[in-house]
Amino acid sequence: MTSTLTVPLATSRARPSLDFEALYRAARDDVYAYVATLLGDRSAAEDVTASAFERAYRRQRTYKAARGSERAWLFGIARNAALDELRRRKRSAALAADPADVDAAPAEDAADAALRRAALRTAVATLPPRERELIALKFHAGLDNAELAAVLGVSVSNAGTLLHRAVQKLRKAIDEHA
Amino acid sequence: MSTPDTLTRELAALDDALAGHPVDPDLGDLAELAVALRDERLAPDPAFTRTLDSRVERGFPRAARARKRGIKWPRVTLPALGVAASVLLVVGIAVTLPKGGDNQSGGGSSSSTGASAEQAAPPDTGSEPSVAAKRAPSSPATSDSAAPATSAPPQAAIAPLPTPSSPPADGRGHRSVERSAELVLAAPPREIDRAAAEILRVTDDLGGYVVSSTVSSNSSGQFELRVPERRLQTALSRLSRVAKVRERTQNAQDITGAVVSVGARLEDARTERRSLLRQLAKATTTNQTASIRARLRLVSGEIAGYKRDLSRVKTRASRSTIAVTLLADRKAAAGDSGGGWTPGDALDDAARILEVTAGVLLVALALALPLGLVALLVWLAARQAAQRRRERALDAV
Repeated sequence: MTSTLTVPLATSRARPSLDFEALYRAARDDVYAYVATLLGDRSAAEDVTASAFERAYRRQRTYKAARGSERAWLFGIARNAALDELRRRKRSAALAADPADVDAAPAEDAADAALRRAALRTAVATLPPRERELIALKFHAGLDNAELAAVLGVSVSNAGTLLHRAVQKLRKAIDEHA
Repeated sequence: MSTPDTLTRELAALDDALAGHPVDPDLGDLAELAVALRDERLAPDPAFTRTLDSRVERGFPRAARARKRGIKWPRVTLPALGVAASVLLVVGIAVTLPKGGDNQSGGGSSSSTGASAEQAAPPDTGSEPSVAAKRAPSSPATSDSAAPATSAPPQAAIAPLPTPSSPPADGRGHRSVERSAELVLAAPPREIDRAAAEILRVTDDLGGYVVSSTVSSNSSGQFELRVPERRLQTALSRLSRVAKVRERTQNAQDITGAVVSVGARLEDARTERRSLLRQLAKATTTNQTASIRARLRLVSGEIAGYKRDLSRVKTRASRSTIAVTLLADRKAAAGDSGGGWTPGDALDDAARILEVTAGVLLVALALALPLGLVALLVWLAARQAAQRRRERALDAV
């Protein structure tokens, strides 16, 4: 099913520097998934996601293509919004505390598959926040390494190294919880 | 510890697995992990996505309403700020500019000169206070005597030079001082003849006389006047009212020495004549008589000469010379025409405003540049600090 979303411009005088509607359509669920993983709170993730898109909508004229892709720019805004939320709440984001996505679990899942998934969630939740953020940006938001680097403000090679280190830690954590 | 090659290979395997591409068998578990992680991502609630879609479609109207609930600040745009700054600038300039639309102000003379010109002119003449201020005395008075020489503004009329009756320091009685003055007056061209007539009338009224005068109708005039020394200040004061004073110079020269010298020579000559007259009375021969008479004629001639010299010297002390130059002043003509503010005045004012504006802008720029730089640095530092605080929040999780 396809639907058309008509997004008004932030100001009538401004020439749009990016296609906000397309960006929103493409990145909405990715932003949510990233923020939800980082915050470990679906309700807060919804607020932050909405806030991030509103900020992006208001600031769409400030986007400069030379500084990176539209997705990297959007995830930079979402990251700041999520970190602001973390600062505001002053509490840890425990993904393990988040209720499981019941709808996403088909009834015919085998028991071992369910166990593997539970182990994976627990392992992700035990990662330090920075590594968890890398996992979220890469696997939940679907950013490539260049976008990852732009969001985190590091070089592409450094982003690759950090990501690799996070995956290694995750594998180790999975083994420990298996 | 992974080697760079391993790292690159494993990262590539992750990307391949996420893209659905085949992965080397030895990296199969890594590929499985990548897919499992991707499949574990949380999906937003459909109700939330519908709400967000709606908000996006309406351009986040709730945020706009929330802003309206707060203090309603006027939306300040850059052009509005520019206009406001310009208005402030013009008001500032208008306040600081001299009043009266004087288009001759800003000359190079001291303020005391201008003020004194104002004092010298009666209020009803419409004389502008800055006229004298515009023209600095261009030919300072010179004097070859020890007496004070002044290149004085018209104010000197109110504070006259020492009078001849001032007792001398050496107590030898009266001192003789020769005084003179120069006036440069400016009048509208059509007022030149009237001003010339007025100068002559003032001279006559004060018991003086005109040594010489040259008047070019509607153009200029030159006058050399002599007035009684005791009425010099009155004369200068009245002449200053005839037209606008452009320049005024006064000189004073002590000529006591010359008077005494001529007087002494006269007295010597008189004494000699008396002696010769006595000798003549006692003369017995024709030759003696003729010789004495010849000498008497010489001495009498000398006495007559000394008397003339003495009279001349005393006249120099008792009569002051005033040199008056009358100039045509087109600007004054415009000012006195009753029309007030002319296009020429407007141009002058506009140029002046631009000049002051440029100066103010230069000063503002000199202030704004370092301040702006400091503000930029502060902003950058604050931005970095905010980002660091955000990152710390991530570390504290």
